[in-house]
Amino acid sequence: MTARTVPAAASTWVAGRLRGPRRSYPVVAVGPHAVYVDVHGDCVGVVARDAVALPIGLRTTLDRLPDIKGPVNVGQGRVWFDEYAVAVTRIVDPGVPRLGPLPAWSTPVPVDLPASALRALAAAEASAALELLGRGDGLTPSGDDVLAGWLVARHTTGRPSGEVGAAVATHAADRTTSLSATLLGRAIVGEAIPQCRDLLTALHAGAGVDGALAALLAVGHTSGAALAAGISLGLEDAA
Amino acid sequence: MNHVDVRRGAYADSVTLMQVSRSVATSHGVDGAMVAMATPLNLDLLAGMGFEPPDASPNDMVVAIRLGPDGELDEALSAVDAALAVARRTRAAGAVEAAPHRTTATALRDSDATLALVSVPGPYAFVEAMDALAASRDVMVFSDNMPLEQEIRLKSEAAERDLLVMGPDCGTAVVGGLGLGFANATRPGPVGVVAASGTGCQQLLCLLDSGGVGITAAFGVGGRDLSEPVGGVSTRQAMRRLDADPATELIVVVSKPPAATVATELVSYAGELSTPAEFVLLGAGEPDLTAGAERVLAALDRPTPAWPRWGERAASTRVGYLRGLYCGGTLCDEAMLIAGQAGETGQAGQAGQTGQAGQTGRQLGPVRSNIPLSPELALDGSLTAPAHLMIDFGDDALTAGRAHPMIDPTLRLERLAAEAADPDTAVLLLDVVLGHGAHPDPAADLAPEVAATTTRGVPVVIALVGTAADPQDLEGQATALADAGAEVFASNAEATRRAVALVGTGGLR
Amino acid sequence: MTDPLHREPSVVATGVDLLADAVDAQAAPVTRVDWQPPMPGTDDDLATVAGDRRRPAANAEAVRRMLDVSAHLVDVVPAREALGLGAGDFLHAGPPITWERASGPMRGALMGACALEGLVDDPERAAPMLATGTQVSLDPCHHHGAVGPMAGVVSASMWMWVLEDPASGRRTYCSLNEGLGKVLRYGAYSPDVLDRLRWMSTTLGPLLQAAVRRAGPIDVTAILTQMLHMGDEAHNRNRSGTLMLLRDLGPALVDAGASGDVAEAIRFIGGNDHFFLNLAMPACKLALDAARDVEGSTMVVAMARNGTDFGIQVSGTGDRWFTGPAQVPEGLYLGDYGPDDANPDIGDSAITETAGLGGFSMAAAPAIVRFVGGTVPDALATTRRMYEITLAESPRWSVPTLEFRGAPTGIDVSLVCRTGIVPQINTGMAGRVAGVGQVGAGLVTPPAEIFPAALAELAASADRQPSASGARSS
Repeated sequence: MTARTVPAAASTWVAGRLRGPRRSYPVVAVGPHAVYVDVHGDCVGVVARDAVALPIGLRTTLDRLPDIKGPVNVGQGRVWFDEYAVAVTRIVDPGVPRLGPLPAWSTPVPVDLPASALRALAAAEASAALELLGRGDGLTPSGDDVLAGWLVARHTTGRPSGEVGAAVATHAADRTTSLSATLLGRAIVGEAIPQCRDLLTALHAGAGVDGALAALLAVGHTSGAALAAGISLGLEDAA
Repeated sequence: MNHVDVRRGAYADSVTLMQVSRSVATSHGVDGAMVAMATPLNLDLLAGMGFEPPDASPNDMVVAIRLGPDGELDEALSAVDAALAVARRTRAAGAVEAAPHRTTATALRDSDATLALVSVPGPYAFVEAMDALAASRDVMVFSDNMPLEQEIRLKSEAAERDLLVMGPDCGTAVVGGLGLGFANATRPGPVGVVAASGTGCQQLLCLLDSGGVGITAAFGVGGRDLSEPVGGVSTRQAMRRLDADPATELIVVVSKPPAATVATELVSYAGELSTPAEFVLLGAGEPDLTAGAERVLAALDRPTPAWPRWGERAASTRVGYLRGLYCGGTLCDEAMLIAGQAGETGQAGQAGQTGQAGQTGRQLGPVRSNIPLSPELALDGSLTAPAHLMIDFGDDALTAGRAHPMIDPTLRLERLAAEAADPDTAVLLLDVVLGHGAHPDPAADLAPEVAATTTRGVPVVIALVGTAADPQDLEGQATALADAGAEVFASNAEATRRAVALVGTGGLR
Repeated sequence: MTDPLHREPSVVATGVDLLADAVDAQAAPVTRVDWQPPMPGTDDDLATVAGDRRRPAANAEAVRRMLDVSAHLVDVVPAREALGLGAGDFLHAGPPITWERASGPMRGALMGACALEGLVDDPERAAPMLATGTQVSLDPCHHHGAVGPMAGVVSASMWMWVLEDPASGRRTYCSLNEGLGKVLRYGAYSPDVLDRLRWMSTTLGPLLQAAVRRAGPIDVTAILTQMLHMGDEAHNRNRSGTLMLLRDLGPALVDAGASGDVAEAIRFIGGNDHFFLNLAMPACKLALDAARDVEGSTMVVAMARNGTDFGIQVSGTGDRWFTGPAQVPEGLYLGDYGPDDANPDIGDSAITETAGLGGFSMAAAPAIVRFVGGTVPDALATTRRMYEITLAESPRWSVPTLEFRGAPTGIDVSLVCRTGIVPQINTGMAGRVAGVGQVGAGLVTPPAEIFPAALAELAASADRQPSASGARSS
């Protein structure tokens, strides 16, 4: 049977995960709007048009994904399931730009995480990473989201992620889900959802911050809020 | 014969009954019919038709039939029942699919689209493009042949609204990684391109890609944007967009030969921006596109690679004329500038700044063309002459009523065969442009003709403009063409110099 | 948007399919426009009008003015009082017309009106007077702030609805609806027709006046809002509007007159599903008149037919009518009448379509579609098609079957010429011969050529001046 090709937009990194021979990989999450697979510890996923545009996604224009019945294969430059072959036909850049120093910014976003850990993160201490990694529920625990926001904020302001980044790189794979660990790895190199980029560029431009923040807070149940909290902590001493 | 009967308590709405009446009245043997609720109005109508009005209330249905000579009452009454049954039957609810919009204005009203892409015939493009601006959207006008005054009006409207008009006659743009028109699959990177030239832009993008450098965006502005009357309005708007983008580290402006005053203004405008800008403005004595790409790489502290090439070098030179058969107008211009008399049309004063690439190699002298560098080099309608020739098959005059040669290779293939058979042909120079919008497999048609040509001993040199990510498979195309005997170059400038070198110096007949 | 370069791109593609295919193949959303060449001969005028600097603001202004109007029923008075008509002054539907060019139903209605006003005893004797123009004058309703359905003939003794926009105090007028079948507006003038009209003048008009003065003002625009949610499109179906009017006026009517007269009045109103049409029409005219005379606006402010000519007026071209031959509607016929019996399109009632009701809101009144043997999907398609030629969606009038999308309103001459889609009108059909009355109902469209004619005039008066800032500014 000839596979039906579904075009997708994805980052260079994601496209790189699809090389190699075609074989089946474990599905870590599946639903009508997204399916994620674990490719040797790196998660990539196929997402529908209106799904959250995670930097690890192959973004299609499908309103929703078909019900996936069989295994999900990856290789030969595509993600394969049932009669579909999802191919990256457009390379997009999920990286936040290097904006340089940004004005300090904080926003009162309530997150259900230990205050001590958040203080440690603001101070860029490795203990923050150890305490926050994997803390919270779901595929992307809110402790990870806070870390991701912080990492992206450091990246965009041109400051190294230091011992926090090192601790995340070392321990994420063991302490959280493979999906969240992959996202943290992307955050270290400055890749994030577009709502994070929009907030940071709004802060840089000094305009449209409220709208961008509202858009970020609307992401997921708690993910957007946790990312905003992380960005806020990452910018506390940015200037 | 007249028949009237009353059906007490039967009801159907008046519209249904008018349909039933019409259906019965046209059935066999019936001269007239009325099936209606017995309202006073309808009873009057019945009387007017010559029926005896029955004693009935408005809640009753009256059936009146006038039979012709060969009419059968039973038949007519069953026609009434059948028509009533049909009318009452629930109609299959057809799929309610919204018809497509008919104008750019109405489509944008119902859409969150970020951009309008207009490719209707030139005389109609202005109206559609103005729709986009009125809806606060950027617009790419792929259409050519838009009257100049409309282009000026369109661009002034866009400037007032802080919007961008790409085009008219904009063949290439890349926005958000999305290739529009004829565009190559590029990678994200630090360069923002503004191009008043489609294939010039594609050459630059492909060379940068080959050098490992990607782009934030490539805005086409249309071939006339840097002319005196248009004044670079879109170029300036695009430069400002790129300047405001934090991810754009270097702005590159590519253009066919611009009006000198406009070029000067734009260079001065670039000085006001916070992002550095490079200008690659083709012209006599100016650096070619490849030299421009090298300058961009240098500005980004990237090494200049050896530009890719494929195929065996042709064994020997051949006496005769260079024959260039191009799809890309700017590539054709560039080839003429390199091969021809670069100094003749002025700007000699700038010769001292000329890039190295433009200076190396021999020049052939005048090159005749359908898009000549100066008017006296123009070809007549036959497009032939005993001279060095460069034909742009993408020129408006040759695309009227047919697809662009990047899509439909027929005309150029015919000419290739003719040139191969011409004993005066020394060497053939062609471009092959890959990317979105272009022919899915240009080598499939071209390679056999190339093979036939090289077999005759006529060397073929090809500039292959594409990226590794293009849907056509760059390596596969290059290999197929090289296997057919062509020398294939990623750089059009290099290809042209090689073709010039293949023209033997033994004197022409 | 703070970062336009990195927004996820999506495209509206107009033109070559190949380019849209390439967008699709790169996983970006693309909406394809089904573009087709415009009406023949309009290319240059379309470009000129598209480039008219005043146009976007002018159309926005015309739409705003139209939508800002509320139409309140404030009074009922005789035409001699409301419009200052003398005994020989007659108003008629549509653009100006002479007796020589008038169609059967228009002639019949004028003849009946002459008898009604006592100029002749027998309507049949009125023709010479009307032909020579002695003692009589003819003028369009539209020139007097009035509208009339079908022949639309208004004479001094007829009583008129008076509608007022409370914000501006502007008023519009329309006669009282006589019912269906053999009636003056369809060109019938038999004695029973004239008797009914006399009763309307002596009994119904004064009763309604008393009732409206007690119960009013009544917000007609708001009733129209409800009608669209009750299956009416306010041109060919006014059933719920009529009942709501009875509801609003009923108690005051009962208080207003002798019980026998009141009962007859209520019976008359309740027995005529179209009674509300004569309120819907002046409400639409009141809104559209507000949009007149906006320089540069391409919005149609009136569509009207006199049985011979179909005419439109456009905001940016003042009082000028652009006319062409009225078409014969397609639809269903009463009794054994057929297409040969039908008169060409007639009446000011297309003012409802001009405002976004009638055929434009067909999707709100699926029952109407079957006039042309159509289906419910046809009704939806018709309304959707009208969005392609209109400037706005009504914030007040919405179409339930289209998820309560606002009715398409504000016909744009330019969009009509570009798409070749002409306004869809629901209408009644008058008999071709004077005196016959109604022969059917159906759908009709304007003669297409009047839109290019209006466009040419808009182009001739377009502002072609470059802006002060000019192309070189930025």
